[in-house]
Amino acid sequence: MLDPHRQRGGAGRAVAAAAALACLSAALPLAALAPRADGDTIQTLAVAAINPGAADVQAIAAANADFVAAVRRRDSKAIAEMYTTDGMMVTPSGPPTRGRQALRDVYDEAFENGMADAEIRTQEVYAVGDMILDIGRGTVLTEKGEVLSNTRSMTLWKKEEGKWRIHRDYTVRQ
Amino acid sequence: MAHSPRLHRSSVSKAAAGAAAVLAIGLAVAQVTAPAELQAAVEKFRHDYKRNDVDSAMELWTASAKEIAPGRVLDLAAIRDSVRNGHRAGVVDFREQDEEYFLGSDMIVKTCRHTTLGESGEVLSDTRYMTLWKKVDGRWRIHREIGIPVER
Repeated sequence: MLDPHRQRGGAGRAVAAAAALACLSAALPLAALAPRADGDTIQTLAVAAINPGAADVQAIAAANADFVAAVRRRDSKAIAEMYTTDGMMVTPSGPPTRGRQALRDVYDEAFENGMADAEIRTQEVYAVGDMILDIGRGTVLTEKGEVLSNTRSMTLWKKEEGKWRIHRDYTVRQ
Repeated sequence: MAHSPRLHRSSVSKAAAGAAAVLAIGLAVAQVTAPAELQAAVEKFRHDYKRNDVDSAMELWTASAKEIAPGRVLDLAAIRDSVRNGHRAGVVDFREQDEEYFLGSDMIVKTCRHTTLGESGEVLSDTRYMTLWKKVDGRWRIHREIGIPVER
């Protein structure tokens, strides 16, 4: 969905980028040495691969809109409650963040670091049993509209207490 | 890519039975052992990779598979190149931990921490994955995947 962590600076970022390439190269196992693919291929698919019901797609769209509204209010409590009780966010910026209090802490820090707005653009939606997988892009913005980060993500939604909530949220920066 | 080299046969058979019951009522339930068919697909890939049979190894992916990585998205051709180049990078095997499986009838979401290994068993990479598996022509294949490098 989003990466609310502060962008690393200077040498730290370079080291992290190198590490990312090294990891990726062997993980795929050698993606880093492969020719560059069309970075926007997924975007062109729009919300094409839909097999959930239209109501589910609308529900996820509404939940994403609620998420953005909570960001604009700087409401970390509301954001944390949009995750399941065992919800987990995974980004390259640190260890996985699990549980509502930890998620709230991450977003509180993000607001202190200038996060004031967000955009979430769903591109594909898949039904997986009674869960929904949402693949899309996100942007974190300052109050002046400056882009803090652009991301791609895969987000697994689960219905808990009658409401769609984020259960697993994996995000990379672009 | 998400692979699980660890196969606990007794628990897999229990998991497969449980999965069948779950699929019958259309619910996604998390479990930590791989469904047997999915595990078989991973083991086939491992076998193909070790023989450097890229054509056969690529059967692990759907024709329209995408891999999301930091700064880029790989299509099937780029994934193929990465598999082909794996041996040159010294990757001889892989292992996984912290696996979760969320099961649907024709889709499975898997999360795991995936480590690639060199000739001496040294860790070459460490990545957290979320993978969407799709059943195509009766076989489980990777359709969408996001890989997040773990800082070491």
